[in-house]
Amino acid sequence: MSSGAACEFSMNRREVVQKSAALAASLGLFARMWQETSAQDEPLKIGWSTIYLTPSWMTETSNEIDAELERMREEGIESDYQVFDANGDTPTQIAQIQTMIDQQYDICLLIAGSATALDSVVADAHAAGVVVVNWDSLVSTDQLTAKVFEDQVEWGRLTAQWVVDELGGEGKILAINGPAGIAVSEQRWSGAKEIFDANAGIEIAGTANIEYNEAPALVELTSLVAANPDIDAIWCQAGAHASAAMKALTQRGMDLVPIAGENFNGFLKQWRDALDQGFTGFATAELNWMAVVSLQLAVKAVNGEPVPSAVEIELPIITDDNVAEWANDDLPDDYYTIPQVPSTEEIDQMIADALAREAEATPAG
Amino acid sequence: MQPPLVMDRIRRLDPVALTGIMLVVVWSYSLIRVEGYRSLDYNLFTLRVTSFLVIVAIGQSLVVLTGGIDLSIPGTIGLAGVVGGVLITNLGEGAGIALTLAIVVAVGFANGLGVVVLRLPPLVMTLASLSIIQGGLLIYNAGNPVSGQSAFLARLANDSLGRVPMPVVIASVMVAFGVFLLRRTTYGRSVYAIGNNPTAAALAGVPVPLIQVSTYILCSLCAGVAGLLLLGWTGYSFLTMGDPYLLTSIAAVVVGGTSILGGRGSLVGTVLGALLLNILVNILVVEQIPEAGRIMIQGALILLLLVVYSIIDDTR
Repeated sequence: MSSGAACEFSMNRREVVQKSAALAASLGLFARMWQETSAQDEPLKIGWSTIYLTPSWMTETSNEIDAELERMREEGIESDYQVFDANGDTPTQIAQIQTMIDQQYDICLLIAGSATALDSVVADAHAAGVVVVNWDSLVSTDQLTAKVFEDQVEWGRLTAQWVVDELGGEGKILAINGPAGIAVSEQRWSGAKEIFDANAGIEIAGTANIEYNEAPALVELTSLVAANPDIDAIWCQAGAHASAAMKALTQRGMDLVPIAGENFNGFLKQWRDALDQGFTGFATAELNWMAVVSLQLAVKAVNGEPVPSAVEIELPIITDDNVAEWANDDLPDDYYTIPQVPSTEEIDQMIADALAREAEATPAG
Repeated sequence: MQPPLVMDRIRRLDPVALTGIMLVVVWSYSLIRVEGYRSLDYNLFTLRVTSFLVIVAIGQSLVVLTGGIDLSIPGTIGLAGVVGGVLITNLGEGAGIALTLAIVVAVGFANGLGVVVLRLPPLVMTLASLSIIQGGLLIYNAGNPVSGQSAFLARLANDSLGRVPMPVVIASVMVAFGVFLLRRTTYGRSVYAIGNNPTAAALAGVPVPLIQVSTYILCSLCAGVAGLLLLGWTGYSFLTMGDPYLLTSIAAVVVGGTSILGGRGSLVGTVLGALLLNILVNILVVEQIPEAGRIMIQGALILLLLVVYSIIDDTR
C-alpha cells in the first residue's frame, strides 16, 4: 500500500523502497533503544497474590520476599512490588490476578487458594505475557511459567514411615490432620494413610481434623489422649498440632510417646528439651524460601533466560540429631524456623538442575 | 392427638433448662463411652478451655440481647494477644495489660459509635472493624512477627485456685457480675428493652445510644480479656488466634437460648451453650465421626434448638 501511495507522488519505486527501509530501520532502532532504556529505567512490576497473609508462615514468607527484593535492588534490579491478600476468598484472588493482567505486571507470584478455580485466570495471565510462578499451594493448570513445590504426598509417607519404623510396625497411634478439604492437608494424609494401611500392625485409634492453630489443637488432643491413654505414637502433619500433642501428654502427666511433626518452633523447642527424658521426634518443613526460588526464577524468565516449568524442592529431615540446630530460642514459638536460607548460587543451581532434568526427560524439546 | 401434645410440652420448656438437659445428656454419654473422661482432671481441663469461650460469649450475649452482633471479636482477641504481648514486654505487666484493655475498649467504643451515630447495621460495622484491625495488625506485625510473653498471664491461664483452674474462676466472676447486671439493675432491664423494641425503649426514657455503645465496649473488653488469657495459655500470640471464637461465640449464645434478634435470653444459657458445644465436639472427635459429619451434627443441633426455641417464643 505504501508503494501504491508513493506512485501517486511520482516517486520512483527504488527511492520509496530505500526511504521506507531507512525509516523502518530507524524506527526499529529507536524502538529497540527505547525498549532497552525502559528495561533499565522502568522497575519490574511484581505482584504477589496470596490466599492468606495473616498466618505466621505467610508473614515469614513475605519477609523473605522483601529481603530478596532488597538484595536484587543492591544488584541494580529495581522493582515495583505489591502484595495482594485475598483474605481466604478465591473470587477476590481471581480479581487480583485479573488486575495484574490489566495493569501489565511483569511477574505474578502466586500462592493459590484453590487448585482449580484460578486455572482460567492464571492461563489468561500467562497468555497475556505475565510471568506467573506458583508455589506452596498449587493450581492444576500447566498454563503458567513455573511451579515450585515440595511433594506433599511424600511428606505424608516420609513422616508416617518414621512412625511405623519407630514402633517396629506394631502399635496404636493418633493421626492429626489439617482442616478437611484443604489440598495440602488431604495430600499429606493420603501419603501417610498409604503407609499406615500397608502396615497391618498399626492401629489408628483416633484421627482429627484441626485448623493449624495450637489452642484448638490442644483442646482436641487433650480429649483424644484422655480417651486413648494407651497410644504408642502421635502422627501430626502440622507443627502446631505436634506442639499441642506434647503439651497434652505433659499436662495429663502421661509418658511422652514418639511424635512426628513440622518445623514449628514451639514443637522443636519442647522436643529438644525433652531429648534427655528419652523423647524421640521427627519432622520436615514447608520451606519458606521457596518464595525466593520462585522470585529468582521469575526474574530469569522476564530476562528471557530458559527456565524449568517445575522445581521440586527436597523435603528437609529433622531428627533427634539435628533438632537443636533447627530450634531457635530467639524466635517466638509460632515461627517456622529454618537454620539457613540457601545462597543465590545454590538457588541458581536448583533451577539449573531442574532445567537439565526437564531437558533429559524431553530430548526433542 | 399426639403432635399437639408434643408441641404443648415443648412450649412449656424453658430454653435454658432445655440446654441444661442436653448438656447433661451429652456429658453423661461421654462419661459412659470414654473411660478417660471420668477423671476430675480431665473435666477440669474441659472447664478451663471452655472458660475462654465463655468469656468471649458473655460479651457477645450482651450485644445480641440488644439486637446487635459483634463480628470483630477475632480481631479484638488477636489485637489483645499480639499488641498486649508486646506492650507487656516493653512496659511491664501492669501497665501493659491496662493499656491493652484500654485499646480494646477503644475498639468497642468505635463499634458502638458506628452503630449508634453512623447508624450502620451492626453486621456491617463490626465486619468493617474486623478488617481494619486485621489490616492494622498485619502492618504492625509485618516487619517481624512479634510474640510477647507474660509470666503473670501464664500463671493466670495455667494455675489453679485449689483444684479450680484460674480461667474458670475469672469466667465465673465475670458471669456472676453479668447476671447481676442483667437481672438486678436498670442497666440490665434497658438492655432487654432495647432488644425488644428500641423505639419503645427510647420513648420510655432508656438512653438507647449510651446503652448500645456500652454493650459493644463490654463485648470488646471480654474479647480482650480472652485474648490476654489465650496469650498466657499457649505462651505466644499470633494474628489469627481469635478466629476460632467468632462462630463458636455466636453459636454458644443462640444454643443457650438467647434470641438472635435480641430481647430474650440469659448468660446462664450462654455458659451452658458453650459447655454443650465443647463437650459435643470432644465426643464427636473421639467417636471417630469424620470432619464433615461433625460439622453437620453441630449444625443440625443448632438448627434443632433454634426451631424448638422459636416454638417456645411463639407462645410467649
